[in-house]
Amino acid sequence: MSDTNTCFDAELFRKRVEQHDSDTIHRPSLTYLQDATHRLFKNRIAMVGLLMILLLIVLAIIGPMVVPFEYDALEDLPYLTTGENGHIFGTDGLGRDLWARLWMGARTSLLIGFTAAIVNAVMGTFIGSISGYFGGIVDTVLMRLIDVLYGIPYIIVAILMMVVMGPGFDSLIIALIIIGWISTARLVRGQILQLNNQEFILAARKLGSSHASIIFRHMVPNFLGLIITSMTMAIPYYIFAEAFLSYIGLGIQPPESSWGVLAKEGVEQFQVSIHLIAYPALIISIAMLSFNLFGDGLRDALDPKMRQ
Amino acid sequence: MTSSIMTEEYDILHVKNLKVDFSTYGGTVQAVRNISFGINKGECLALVGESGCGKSVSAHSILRIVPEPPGQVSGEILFKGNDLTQLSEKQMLKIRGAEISMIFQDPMTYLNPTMRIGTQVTEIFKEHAPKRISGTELKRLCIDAFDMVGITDPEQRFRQYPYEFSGGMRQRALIAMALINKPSLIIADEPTTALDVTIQSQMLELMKTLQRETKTALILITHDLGVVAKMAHRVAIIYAGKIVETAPATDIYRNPRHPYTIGLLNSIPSVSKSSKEPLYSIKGTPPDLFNPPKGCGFAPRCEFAMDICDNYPPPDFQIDEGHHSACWLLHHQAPTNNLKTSVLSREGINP
Amino acid sequence: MSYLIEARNLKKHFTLRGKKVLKAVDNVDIAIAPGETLGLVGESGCGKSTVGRTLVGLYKQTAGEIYYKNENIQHLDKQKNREFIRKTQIIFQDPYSSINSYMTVGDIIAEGIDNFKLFKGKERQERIYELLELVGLNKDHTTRYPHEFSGGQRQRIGIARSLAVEPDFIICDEPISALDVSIQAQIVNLLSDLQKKFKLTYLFISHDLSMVQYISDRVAVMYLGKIVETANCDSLYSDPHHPYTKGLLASIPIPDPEIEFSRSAQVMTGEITSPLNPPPGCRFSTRCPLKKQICEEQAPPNVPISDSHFVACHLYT
Repeated sequence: MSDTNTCFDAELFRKRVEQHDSDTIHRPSLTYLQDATHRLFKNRIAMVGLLMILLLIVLAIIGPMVVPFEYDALEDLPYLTTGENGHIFGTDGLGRDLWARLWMGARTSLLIGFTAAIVNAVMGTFIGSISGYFGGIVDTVLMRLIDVLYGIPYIIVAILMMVVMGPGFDSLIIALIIIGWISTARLVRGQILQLNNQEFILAARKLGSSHASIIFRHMVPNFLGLIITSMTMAIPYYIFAEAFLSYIGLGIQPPESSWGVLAKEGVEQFQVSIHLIAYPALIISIAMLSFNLFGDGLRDALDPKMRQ
Repeated sequence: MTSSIMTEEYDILHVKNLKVDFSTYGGTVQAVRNISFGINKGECLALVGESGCGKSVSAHSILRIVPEPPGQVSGEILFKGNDLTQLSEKQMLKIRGAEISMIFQDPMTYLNPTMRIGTQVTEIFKEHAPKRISGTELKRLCIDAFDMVGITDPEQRFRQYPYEFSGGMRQRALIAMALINKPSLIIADEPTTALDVTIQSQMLELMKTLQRETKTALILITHDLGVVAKMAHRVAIIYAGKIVETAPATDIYRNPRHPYTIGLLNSIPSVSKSSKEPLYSIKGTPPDLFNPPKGCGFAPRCEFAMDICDNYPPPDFQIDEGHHSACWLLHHQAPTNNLKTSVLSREGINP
Repeated sequence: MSYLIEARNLKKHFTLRGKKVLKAVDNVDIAIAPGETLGLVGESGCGKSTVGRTLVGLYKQTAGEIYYKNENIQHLDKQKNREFIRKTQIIFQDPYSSINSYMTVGDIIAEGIDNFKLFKGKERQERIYELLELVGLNKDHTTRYPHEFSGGQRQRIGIARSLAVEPDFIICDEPISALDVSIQAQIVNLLSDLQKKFKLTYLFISHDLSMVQYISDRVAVMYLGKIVETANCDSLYSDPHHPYTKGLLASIPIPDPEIEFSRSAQVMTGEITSPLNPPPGCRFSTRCPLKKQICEEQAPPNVPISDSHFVACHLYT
């Protein structure tokens, strides 16, 4: 800090020639997405979750190909334990390689989980948007419908659907979708109601934007983060739903494999060999945990209030 | 010219070389870059500046409520001779709400919506009471406080919740909470910004009367030069984390000596200006405090800027008793400045 | 006299939960001539924003008629309705929530151009650059996102967006309240310049009486859903008649300590009553220092003081 009496070079007291342009933006700044990504990657626990999810997916794809055994081949000796005869996880009661069955099963279970979650998210967004945006009688009818459907336990509905349509992959997906969209619809409707009177939406109306344009271009990006998070958290829910339904015999049927099927077989034979339930249980738990950890991290990262 | 902010004596609060930095992902934000000011008993000092200039952070630093980390506070904060930066949290707890109180801007977020107003007001007294006080005594104190701040039907209001109070009433409740322990210093952070103009004028009258009666020192943080004119004895203008000019209130309006102060005064429409002349406006926007200017913080926007302004931060030049300005135009080597002639004359004010 | 936009007996009521009715705008007459700036002032709950939004069709009126270029907006055919939507624009208060943070500046400005198919291809891009320059921003800002700009700059983006569709009437709904003092002057100057350049008509809504005085030709004062006084700008500020107007003007602190420091303002007593329960008769009667018996019983008529100055007050009948 100079003293008031210091003398300086006289030249310094010349009026400055060029005017600074203070309207240029100097600081490199982050978009919402960049900020969210950065925070997500810094979250170690969420990254562990993500890594595990990716690992599970990779193993689901290449796992069965790694071993020379087919998942439904009854060739070998039953009840072999870990590592015996080249079977990484041993064999089950019918001599089928558990490793191959586990990862074939992973394909089914993960596929169901992802498909159900995505379809429900999309359906829920559509229905919720229309309900919230247009309001009036459309909203009232849809909301009452949701209230009714919400009251019925999804298990009952799923069981009913499976009984009516017969077991199998396709009917399982339909059963899970039929009321799965409700929570997303409610979430989206709430967001739309909040956004409806925001100034930028009013501006869009004055600028001649169509309803579709307003909903999908203006409103959806504002809560897309929420939908993605809710979708990520729904995946383990559907994986578990499949496991449960298959366990009670209404889902995937053997010799097809899924985690639920393996759980069922494992429980039935656990007196004889523990690894038949231990491995599937372990993998299911890891899968659920990974999605939850990653989903939590995702929720924190995408939360606009936590933006730095 | 010997006296400066540093050597002047203040009996209630003297802040010296306050610096506050915040570490964030994008770098370090220098929110407060060396601020010094003081206040005496019974005085009202206005800290004036626009958003992001550092006035709120300075106020929060006095009460040590700046979160550290990510904040880093350095400097001396002498309250009645004691350096607050050296006190423990336990000692600070005794001071907050009792010796030094704060009135915040938005009464709705400051009041707990699930607690009755009476409970919230008396809680502050209970925290600092020297001995156990009975419930009836507490209630009586609260009702007296309500009377003092002009809350009607105090008996009934005591039991009400914040949502039952209007905006003006809530702010009165905040004032009651600030005064109940008879503090020596009150810091009011934009206390009337969120209020309607007729309610604002009621609040200002109230605060002024109370201040006069209780002789409490008041630091008033605001951006409204009308409010400053009404309330302040002395004014400090803050820009980009530094004080650019300090003076008694009349001097700031009659004889402003910093281009930013002049710019601010000229930006306000006045009764006399012919309405078809464009309003004087300061070009550009306030600087980014991640990377503050090397020299004077205001130089990028200043129409009188010289080369020295871009390269060296200006020291405080004394203009009069109690009137300082940090501007190179006041240096003896600066050309006879055309500041005075460039000031668009406002009715009744001699440049 | 041909008005650009006119409202007669305008009412906008909102029904809240529990069947309570909020009479935000209750029987308001407005008339704005082309090229004019009408200032609309009042405090919270007076309904000024609601008036603005209803005038341009964002809210549907509960009762009363609105005329744009002498045609009733409720009876416009599809094409004329589209014209009406385009030609009457609005600039909002909050620069943070009035533009979509997920769109680039270029897209924000082009939205109206695209919807109304005003320009295509190269001309469209030229038009975007032209608009940015008109509001004091520059070309390289087109690819940036709103969060990279300051409040004042975002407000400029909002102004450019409205100008893009070539309106003739713009509602300025508290356009400077959320901005710093030094930036307020920049924006007001900009609005003023644009008005001259493009022959715009403004309804300038604000609670900042000094700014309103600076920019308006005529001013209307609102209280709890009703207009209490209308006059030419100079007449209103130098010769206010309604007790509320007087109280309002007296409450403004004057930025000059020699006057203001020792002045004890004639403080208006009482609280602003809730618009849910307006008092019967004159809405201002609960706070009026000059109230008479009739004020509590009957709503006051609109009394002409001169051909351009009207007061709704029993004191002048």
